[in-house]
Amino acid sequence: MKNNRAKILKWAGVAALVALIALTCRVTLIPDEAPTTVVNAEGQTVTVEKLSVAEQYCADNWDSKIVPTIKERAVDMVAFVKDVETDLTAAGLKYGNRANETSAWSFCVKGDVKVLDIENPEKPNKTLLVLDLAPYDSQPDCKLFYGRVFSSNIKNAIRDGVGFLHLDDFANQVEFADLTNAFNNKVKTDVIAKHEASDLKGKEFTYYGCISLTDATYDNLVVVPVELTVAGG
Amino acid sequence: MKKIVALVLATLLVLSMFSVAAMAEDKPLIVIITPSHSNPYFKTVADAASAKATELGYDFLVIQHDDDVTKQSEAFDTAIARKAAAIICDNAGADATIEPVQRAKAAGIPTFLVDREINSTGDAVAQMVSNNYQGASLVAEYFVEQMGEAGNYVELTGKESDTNAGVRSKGFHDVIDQYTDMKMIEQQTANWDQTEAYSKMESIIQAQGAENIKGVICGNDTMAMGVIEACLKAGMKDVVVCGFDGSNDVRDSILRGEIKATGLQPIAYIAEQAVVQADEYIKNGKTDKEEKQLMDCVLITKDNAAKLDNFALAD
Repeated sequence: MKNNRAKILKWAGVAALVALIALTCRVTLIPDEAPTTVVNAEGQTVTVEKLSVAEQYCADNWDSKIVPTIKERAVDMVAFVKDVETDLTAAGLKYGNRANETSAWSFCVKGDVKVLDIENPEKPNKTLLVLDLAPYDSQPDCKLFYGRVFSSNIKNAIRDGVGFLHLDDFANQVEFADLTNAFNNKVKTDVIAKHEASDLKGKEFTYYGCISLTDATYDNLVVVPVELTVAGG
Repeated sequence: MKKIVALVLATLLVLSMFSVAAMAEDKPLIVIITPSHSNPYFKTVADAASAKATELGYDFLVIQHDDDVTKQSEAFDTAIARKAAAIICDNAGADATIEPVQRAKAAGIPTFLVDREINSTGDAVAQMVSNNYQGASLVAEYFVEQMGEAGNYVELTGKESDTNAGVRSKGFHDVIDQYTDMKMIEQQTANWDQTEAYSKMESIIQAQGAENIKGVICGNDTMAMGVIEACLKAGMKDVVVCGFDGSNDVRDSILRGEIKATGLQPIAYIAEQAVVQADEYIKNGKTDKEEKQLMDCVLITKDNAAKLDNFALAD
């Protein structure tokens, strides 16, 4: 009996202590967070502490906003090539975007194509697909970027092509530039990595993508793909 | 009698104030604040802006802050005291400039920043800067190509407090680091300075050995000039040196076959456009442009260097 009373007192004391702690401390519950992963430029999935603003933006908006906008705004490549070769500025004012007079015009485009050739197959950084636009005549009409290193003339095609992304909405040039890198990494992992360039030779496919132009010569007609649907593949 | 004299004097005083105001209204003042003109780049900023101001019917006052934030603050005080219609400023620090710009704004004077950004938005009417990241990417692509996509290189960066130093370095590395055979063996700051770049490069050559350095990429042209001098002195005739700015000095070096490339900042155009937008703002109380405006740079190599003069390319 005595023993029991001592036990009760002991437990009451513990309960009071717990209550006291509960009353004086603020308890924050930390949910178990899955580690954030991101696919790096080499195509490896790595765990990162925290996504950058640009990476987060890309992760949140690529499927829901970026790709749908490009598909919605896409101009058919046959008409597009004709328009920009006639008058790039007029085409730009009609359905392109640029930040100011010193920037390239960027557009959203789509095309039904056949791969005639692979340019720079031995240089995976700079590989391009040489394309014949439907109806096919075996003549090269434009190119599709299929490499790993996005050169300056094409790297901002997606960011500037969609038309709703402005520097003012981001902290500075670096963050705005990072957005370009995030989009282009997405192209590398989600689009380009899906098929070996060599496997695409002779294949037909439909693409959606973006293109930046300062002048509309054939060599500059390089589209950055965001979606590629291979016929029969 | 005394009262009448006082009244007359007071009236004269008031009238003279009106006439000063009227004169000021005839030709409003644009104050142009820049770093030291010892770097011709900043002299171009002042010259292009003041020429455009005159053309649009303004008086102008040019003040150099020498990258000293106290001097810059005094320059803003002068603009406020002189009731300037607008300030064009190539600033002395991304953080230190926020307060003076806010002070001018509170006094009703709009500031148009050129060349360098600040770490705030909504204070200046415009921040018109070169697309340093795009320009640095252009230069880095050429640098990699000239290096044959492989080899040891050195990077000299600009002044740490200046946003452009970091942006350019990032622009370089976002390109170069994609090539696994490019190895950076030294990265040091030479604070945009030619003499400092010369002496730093001299010690780097001593430490690393001339034969182990294939290229040097520099955050601006003045540092590139210091670097090429040190390299040539060490007999490094084939070294790949690239700069950034598009100065006449580097143009001449490129034409001599020494420095390989630079990124031209369209600074003359930027300075002129800043005055054009200031004029629009003074007349309409607004501009139709975004606050932050990036102007694309142009790659200068032996192919187009001859067309470059005072930070502008002839057509």
